[in-house]
Amino acid sequence: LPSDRNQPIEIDAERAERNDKTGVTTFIGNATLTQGTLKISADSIRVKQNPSGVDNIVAEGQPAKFQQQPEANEPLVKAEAEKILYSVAKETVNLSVNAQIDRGDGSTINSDSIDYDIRESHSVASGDSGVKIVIQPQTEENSGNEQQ
Amino acid sequence: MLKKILTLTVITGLVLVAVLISENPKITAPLKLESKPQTPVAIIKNSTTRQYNPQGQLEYLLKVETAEQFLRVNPKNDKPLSAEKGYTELSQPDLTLFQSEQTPWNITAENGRAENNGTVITLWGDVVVYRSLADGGEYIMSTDQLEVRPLEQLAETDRAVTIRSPNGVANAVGMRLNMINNVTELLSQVKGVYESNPLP
Repeated sequence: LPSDRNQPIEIDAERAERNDKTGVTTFIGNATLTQGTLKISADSIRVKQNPSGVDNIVAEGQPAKFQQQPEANEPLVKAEAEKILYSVAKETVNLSVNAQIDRGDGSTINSDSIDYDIRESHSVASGDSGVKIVIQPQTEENSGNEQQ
Repeated sequence: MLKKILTLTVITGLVLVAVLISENPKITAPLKLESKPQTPVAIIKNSTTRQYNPQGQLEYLLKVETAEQFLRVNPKNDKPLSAEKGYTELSQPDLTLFQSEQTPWNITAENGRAENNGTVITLWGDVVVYRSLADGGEYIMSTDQLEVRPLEQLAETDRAVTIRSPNGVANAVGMRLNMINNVTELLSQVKGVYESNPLP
């Protein structure tokens, strides 16, 4: 939801390591991040802080998973990849290595890398090994409704 | 009517006390000690201990309100063991650990005990580890017991810890802190909460 950005970021994990010199805290073991409807689950979640707050978050897993509800009346957007970079201030998510995004409207994108803009709910895929997009055909019921 | 008000007041008071006790079950009893000789061999009031490394740099500074030195007794023959094997009870210890080119770490507590010639200092009761960060923020860690090895600049606990830093709070059970490379390991049940960034 648009209000997600104003929610605190909560992270749970089995253990963590915090380095004050680099400003990075790494949460390890069943790591889960929650910020409103935005959720990330991964083997590890790295939080990079700067003096004004959380700069970016990197989740890694086999795969790491991301989900968020863009708007109240819209379905969940779900994504996964071996690496998820969430730039908190810019509100963008980069999925890399076996990236996939399911926009909840029946369409999915598979690629090496997918950039997802949370605010615009817009994704751009790119990759050496090509981009695969699957759009589910509309059921008769839906297409009938449109003809009336 | 008066009776009703009185009863209500008592119930409210009891509920308040129950909430206070359950919310912060402080460690009050000191750590279990083996049989302690009755009298200390020395009592030192308002002491400051400075420890320097071979290069003459200050490694740590320990201020204590009251230090009581005890000798341990050989259980076989009740004879006092050597001073190295003794220990010192500390009240209101205030320990500052220095590293080159970075701000020092400061650790305070209600009580402490120094052993092995001061190479191991166990602290308990409102233990607070404090450090001001390069970016102007503060690192404040609180727990109720902590073992510090000042010469190695290490500290660890198996107790619950809370770490407050500029824009977040982390809670965990068990912690190891290396004050030279500024790395804190949180050992289990970790929960971090970060404030959302202010809108640009």
